Amino acid sequence: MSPILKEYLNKRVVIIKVDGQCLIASLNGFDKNTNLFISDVFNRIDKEFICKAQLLRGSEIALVGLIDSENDDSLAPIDEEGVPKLKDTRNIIENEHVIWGKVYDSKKE
Amino acid sequence: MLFFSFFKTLVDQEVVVELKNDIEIKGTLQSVDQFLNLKLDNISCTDENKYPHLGSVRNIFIRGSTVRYVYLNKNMVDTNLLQDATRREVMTERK
Repeated sequence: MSPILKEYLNKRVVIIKVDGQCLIASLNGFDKNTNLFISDVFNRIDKEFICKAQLLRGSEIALVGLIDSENDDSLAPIDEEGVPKLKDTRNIIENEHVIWGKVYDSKKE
Repeated sequence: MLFFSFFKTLVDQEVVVELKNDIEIKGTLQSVDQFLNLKLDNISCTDENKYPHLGSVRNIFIRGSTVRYVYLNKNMVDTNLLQDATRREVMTERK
């Protein structure tokens, strides 16, 4: 079991997903694969309401942060232009096959 | 399980974790589990202006699978001892 998320139960959390999306939600449940059951889900940046309850697959989760209830500015708007988009965790190199093609060609000569 | 034990010895030390999405977070290691999920306390992003997403957050849980590096201070780890231990672990697995 992974009981280290237990302290976050029924609290507001920030979730950063592997695709770079950032959510705010209440954590209602979890399991050892970090599958999360969350409710009252909002987008962190534009504060858009996403859904009432959601089951989030563990493999989609990068980070979970506990929102400080004392100085909670999570609902304060974030300047959308000033915020760089979060990257995903895949680090895909564009046209990688072209690069390797060139390497292959240079070896052939 | 060796690195699980290793990280357990680092609890309460300050570390910097780099994630695969290039975010770097500094914080005090609070706990670790068998998947090397990490829990950091008193966090600060090394580049605060760039990532205000964690503005009102002090305590985070990082899924082990998204960690790229954990930066440690040189004096936190005895590399010779660790190398020895990794070899011993491999040997016991073979038996």
